[in-house]
Amino acid sequence: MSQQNLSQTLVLPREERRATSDSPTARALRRFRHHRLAMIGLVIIVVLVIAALLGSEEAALSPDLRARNLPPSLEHPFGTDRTGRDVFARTLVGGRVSLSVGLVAVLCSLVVGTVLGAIAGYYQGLVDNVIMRLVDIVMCFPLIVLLLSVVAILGPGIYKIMIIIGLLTWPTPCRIVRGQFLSLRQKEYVEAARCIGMTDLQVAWRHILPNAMAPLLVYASLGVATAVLLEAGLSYLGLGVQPPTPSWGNMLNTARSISTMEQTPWQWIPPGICTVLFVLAVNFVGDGIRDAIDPRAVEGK
Amino acid sequence: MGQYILRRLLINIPVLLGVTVLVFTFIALAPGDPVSAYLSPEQGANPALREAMRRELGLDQPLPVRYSRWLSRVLQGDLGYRAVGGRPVDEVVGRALVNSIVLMGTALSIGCLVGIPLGIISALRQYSTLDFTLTTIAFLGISSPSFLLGLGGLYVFGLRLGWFPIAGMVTPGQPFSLLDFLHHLALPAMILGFAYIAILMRYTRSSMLEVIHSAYITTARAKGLRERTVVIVHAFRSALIPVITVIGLALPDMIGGAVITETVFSWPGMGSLFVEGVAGRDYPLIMGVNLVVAASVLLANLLTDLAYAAADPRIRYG
Repeated sequence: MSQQNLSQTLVLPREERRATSDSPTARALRRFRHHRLAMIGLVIIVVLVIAALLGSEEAALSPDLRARNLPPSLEHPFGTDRTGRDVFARTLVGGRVSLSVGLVAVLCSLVVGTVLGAIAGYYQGLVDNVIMRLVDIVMCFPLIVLLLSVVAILGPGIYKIMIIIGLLTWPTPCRIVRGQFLSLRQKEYVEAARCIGMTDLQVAWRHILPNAMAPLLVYASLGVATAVLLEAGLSYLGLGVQPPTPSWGNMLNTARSISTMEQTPWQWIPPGICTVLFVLAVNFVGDGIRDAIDPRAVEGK
Repeated sequence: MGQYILRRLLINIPVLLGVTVLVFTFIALAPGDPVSAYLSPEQGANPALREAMRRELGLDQPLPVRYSRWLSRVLQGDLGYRAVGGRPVDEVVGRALVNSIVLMGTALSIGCLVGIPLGIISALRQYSTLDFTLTTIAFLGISSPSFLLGLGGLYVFGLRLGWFPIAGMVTPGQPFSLLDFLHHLALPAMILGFAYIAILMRYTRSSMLEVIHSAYITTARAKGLRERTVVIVHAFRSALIPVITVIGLALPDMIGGAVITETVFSWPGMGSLFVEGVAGRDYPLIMGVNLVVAASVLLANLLTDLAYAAADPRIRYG
């Protein structure tokens, strides 16, 4: 609702009023294209992703002890870090690492959440009860507290972080999917599909799950931002991605000591700004997707 | 109402038990042998001595027995001893808890005092330039991560401009003074408060908009009530539900502290204590913090539901 209000003020009203007879997807896409903030967000994301893909791993990982802690210059646009590695190259490669953590974590979370939510909503009864109580219990813990506790037991590391974030954030998609299954499993068309002999898996996959795509898409986009932030927080504390692999988060670790924070700001400000930009951009895009696919949204009003 | 409270309490008991099982399992899975903490390295090399210690600590018992013993101690408020330094966990947690509540309570108060009025104004002037500006600021505030804002704020206002102290709650080595304490509190509280301002503003605005055009508001105006009475007594009361939700969701933060932001500002609350525990693999401490935080989430949910019932007589519980 509040997002809708925001979009009403930002979307071009004349375009919205144009009469339409095309498909829902085309309509949603058009609404999305006219969401100014979402388009700005999309551009920022594309630029960050391309930059991250272009980063040179060699420059990011080769120390040069004669060029330590250099301030920004033509040769090193963002300066060098305490072992003489190029901060610009590390920011790009770090972005690749952080974004991969975000993506893989959200994929894990989506797979686990969707499967459990579908089972709970489709079969109901005891299974549903067990899964939903598990959701209740997991949701009693703030995400960051749970995450840090698991890291205390399993130890840090890039692959562990991906999986752990993914496995701890499944309750949200689980609830989304379960809700769709609960409301649709009794519908006539689902009964019909079952009558012509489709298996439970086919019914779930072909006829019920597509209805949950819209909210899942919004969850996935915002989830990537959450995961990138969690990685940044963990690695800032030194409990996430371990050096020498750069990530936006562990580059921020320089700022943990007040003296290095003050003396070499070029080492932590670029990854910090990239993280903030990425998270803001994803939120803009998420807002745009939400408005674009909401059937109650402003179109025709 | 009484029956409703009782039922909500009863629903929460199995969830709370589940939480204790989860926390206990976590720690039982943790690597490392707790016996080592009680023995010097030379003693630790002696298997017979280790075995004796293990029996004395009750670690030779099966897991369910250990769980029930642990649970009965926890119910008496005994959270055990820190693995590092050996101080009682409940005492350490208690002190950190107070510090976190002070910081987060100030932040939430700033959020309510600034965010709610701005949300009301924004709704009353819908689509004005002011509304657009405030809505955009709120959106930025919700989306920007507070620990990164904290790093930026610390660098700009603490280090470059030198307006605020950069770490801790008081200046070390000086006798406690309220002014000094408030000076330390200001920057982290404002940065954490910014997020609350943004969220509360957005929720207040949208829920005010839902009621502001209803017939009963027109009636109130028509019968000649002052605009202030109409807005505050008639409209805002109905718009209160989402605001309660936000405050309810913020309560657990108050107990758990803003984990990373507290670390940024070296604020000695639950957040930094927890990070210290995780970095030092201090399992009893991790366990204690988890239990306190989870229990407070359940309590906050309960309080939120009760506040709904108090704020909105339409909410019926059957």
